[in-house]
Amino acid sequence: MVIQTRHIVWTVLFLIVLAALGVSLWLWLRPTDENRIRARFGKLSELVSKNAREGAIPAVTRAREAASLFTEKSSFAVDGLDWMAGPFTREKLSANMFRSRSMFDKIKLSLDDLEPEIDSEKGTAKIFLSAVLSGTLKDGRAVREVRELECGMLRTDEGWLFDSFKVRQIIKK
Amino acid sequence: MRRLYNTEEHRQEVKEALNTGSMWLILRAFFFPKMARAFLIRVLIVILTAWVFFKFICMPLVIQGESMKPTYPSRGFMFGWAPAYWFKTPHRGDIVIMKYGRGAMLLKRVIGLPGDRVAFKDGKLIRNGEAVDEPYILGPSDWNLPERTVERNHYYLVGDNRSVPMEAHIFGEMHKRYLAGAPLW
Repeated sequence: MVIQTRHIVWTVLFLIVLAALGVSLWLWLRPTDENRIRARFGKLSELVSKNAREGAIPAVTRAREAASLFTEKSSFAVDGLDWMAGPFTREKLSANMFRSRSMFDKIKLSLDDLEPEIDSEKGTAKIFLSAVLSGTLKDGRAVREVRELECGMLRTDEGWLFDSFKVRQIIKK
Repeated sequence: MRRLYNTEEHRQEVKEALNTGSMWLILRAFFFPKMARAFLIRVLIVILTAWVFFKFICMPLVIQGESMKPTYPSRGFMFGWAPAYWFKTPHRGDIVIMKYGRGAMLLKRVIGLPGDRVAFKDGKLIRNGEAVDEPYILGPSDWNLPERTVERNHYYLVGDNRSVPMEAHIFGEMHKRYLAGAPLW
């Protein structure tokens, strides 16, 4: 085989594309605080969601795992729902999550438009995002609720943990 | 002319199909050529470009709901043009597309900018204390809403169909971070 100029050009082009892909992948996956925080939201969304009926033990395990993403005492404030406001321990959160998820046959929590403001020195972060909770209740009713979240996070030995949630209407009259 | 074909084999395939005169063979040779490297690269580039273009620049959207009647029908198809507000901010009266959680967008008209005072009195929009003439709305409207000041970095958005009850209409102020673009037409 004779190596021609076009072979060299194609090889160089291929290497450039490969390098660009590698750099993009590295930028996307490198372990920055922002990526770790995004991963936490991904994990929370995964743990809250369920696609089919699940047994009590897997449900408890998931609720406990989800609660472990929160600090020992996290606070909640929900616009218009004062009974849902206040500090929550992990145990209380886990119990609430188990109870809430058991009301649904299917549930999906989508967390998008993340806008993190990270203070690396203090180890705190404030994240604005939109959340969509959709699913089917046990009685067959479909639910789709859209809210804006303001979330406070703390960097601990266990990684970034959710410390506070403010839930409000994404569009308010 | 050679560039029309992926390879010499592809050219030969089309040529043979043309010689046979069979329309099916001609079409197959032209649209479904043998998987040559050049063809696969071209297909990949087209798919990638189309994905980027229709996902981030020109988003195909289906209109559902009557909130923007009569400007937009209750059912229809449109494209959202994302670059519309990359280098400028919306003005009063602009129609904008806002992200409304995953998988949904809101199509609304901007009636208030940050710092504006907006209110509705007997269906009439009052902005900064003055009644605003809105020839584009569908009435009659009996909306009454006390005056409020639009927060920093927020836009006050309302649909053009004011004939529906105020409680049933999704409107209000929304943060600029949800701004996704403007309708292409």
